[in-house]
Amino acid sequence: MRPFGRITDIRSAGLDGLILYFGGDDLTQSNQAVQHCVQALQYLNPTWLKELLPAYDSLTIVFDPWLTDDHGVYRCLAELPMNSQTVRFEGHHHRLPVWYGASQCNDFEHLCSYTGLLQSQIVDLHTQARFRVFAVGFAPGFAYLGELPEQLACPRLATPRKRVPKGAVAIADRQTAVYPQASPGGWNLLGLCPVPMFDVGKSPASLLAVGDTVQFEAISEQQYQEWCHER
Amino acid sequence: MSDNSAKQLLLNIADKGLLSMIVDGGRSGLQQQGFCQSGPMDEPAFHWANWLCDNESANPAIEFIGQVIVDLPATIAFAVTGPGAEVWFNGQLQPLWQTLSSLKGGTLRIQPHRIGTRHYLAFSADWALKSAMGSVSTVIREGLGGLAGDGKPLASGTQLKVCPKQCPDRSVPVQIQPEYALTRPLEVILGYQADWFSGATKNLFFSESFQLSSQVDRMGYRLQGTPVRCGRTDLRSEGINQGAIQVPSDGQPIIMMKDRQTLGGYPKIGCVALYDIPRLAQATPGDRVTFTSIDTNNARATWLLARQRRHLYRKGK
Repeated sequence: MRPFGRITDIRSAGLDGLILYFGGDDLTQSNQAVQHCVQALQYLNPTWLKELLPAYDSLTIVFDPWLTDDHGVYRCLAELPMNSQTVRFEGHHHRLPVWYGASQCNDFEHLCSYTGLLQSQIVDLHTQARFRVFAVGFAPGFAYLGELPEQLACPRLATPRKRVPKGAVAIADRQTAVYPQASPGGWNLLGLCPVPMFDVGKSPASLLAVGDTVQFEAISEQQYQEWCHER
Repeated sequence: MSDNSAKQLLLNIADKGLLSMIVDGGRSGLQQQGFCQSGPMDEPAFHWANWLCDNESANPAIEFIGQVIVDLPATIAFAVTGPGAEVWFNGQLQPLWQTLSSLKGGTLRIQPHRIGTRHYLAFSADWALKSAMGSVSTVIREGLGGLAGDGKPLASGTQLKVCPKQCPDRSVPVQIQPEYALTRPLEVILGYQADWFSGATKNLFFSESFQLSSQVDRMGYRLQGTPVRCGRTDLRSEGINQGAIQVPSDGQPIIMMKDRQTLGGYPKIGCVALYDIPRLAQATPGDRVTFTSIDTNNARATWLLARQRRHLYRKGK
């Protein structure tokens, strides 16, 4: 199966799956192409479609092998209409409040010494950037946001923590994220976000989707507590 | 109170064994939000357990490891499926892969022949369960599904409320049952980053045997053997399909199962074919597995024929 358009490579992902890789001038462009393909497929909603797994520059498609095969999927992709009716070219924008330096989520000492920046400079850089959701996965509602300004890029912890609290805002490499649930984690912690990242009572359950944009804003401990009590 | 509630039975899980949990067909269409697939590790055994009970094919059933004991207060049709177990009812040995509909109330004890294998206990009944994200399948890590919808597996002493139904007696003959022997290699469709592995490494992967480590769970089965080295590690996280064979830098493959995380960044040499996943799911630590390569078209044909056999048998042909 020959790649075409923005698709640069197509590989098998089992007898019921294909993975497509997308290209562009940068990661944002590749991810936009992934997002558009996802939306066009969702709009078409072919009977054989079982799962779509968009990620940074790839899209994994799981199909029902009773209804089609990888060539059938390929032919469908080749004819996929991409226009303003089938594709929402802009994602939703979200503003997420963060209590930076919350006591149980505070790696600033390590981050300041690693980056050579003051805590206030780190917060400024983190709140000024407009991040893109490149992928949602690993756990329900966990959104990989990027790209983090180069000055903030820092490696994961050598030993992951056994427990990172729900709502922890974290950075690692060129990425940032909000932990949707308490879980083990190896990212560096900046603070706490009071907005739930997923709600099983809602559809969609995940607040963020690939292609959405996010900007963080600093709030005080008191504002954080008020946010939490409002719910 | 409605008629249904009058007919409700309370089944008591006297002993949950090593791990007992409620599963159904699993969650669908939610992997892009980060929810795992979930559902039965041995899909054919689960499927037939429900068919033997005249249930919808994705009706809830209990997947369990180790010896379980269940008290049944009155007659209820049920069936047990899986690779092999002794089924005792009030001290009488009963068959697997058959509807057991005429037993009066008493104590059911199921002792798998091999520790670590998964068996399915289905009842001909409707369950009063609240689904979480479209399914009652238990996912401990996500806190979803199960009796209370919070992802907890079944505890000893749990009471299960069910509404029994009438059910014809059925059986699944040996030739229709899944085959569990590991003497035949598991069939693998090369894909994903297969090109990142040298020809010599691929030869090694398809000629050596690998032992199941003790790290086997519903997320993945970690193998041990001669390291399968991959030349590159610079992979961005991407979607992981069922049966995908991840190879971390230590060269010890991990095969991704029903509760796998949706995205991951380890190189993958390919995927175990769907129809061979139950065979792997029923292997236990210390067992040895081998792999053979199959192309996508052949693999799909094998899968389609197996599905067709299932449909024909269900139709009585």
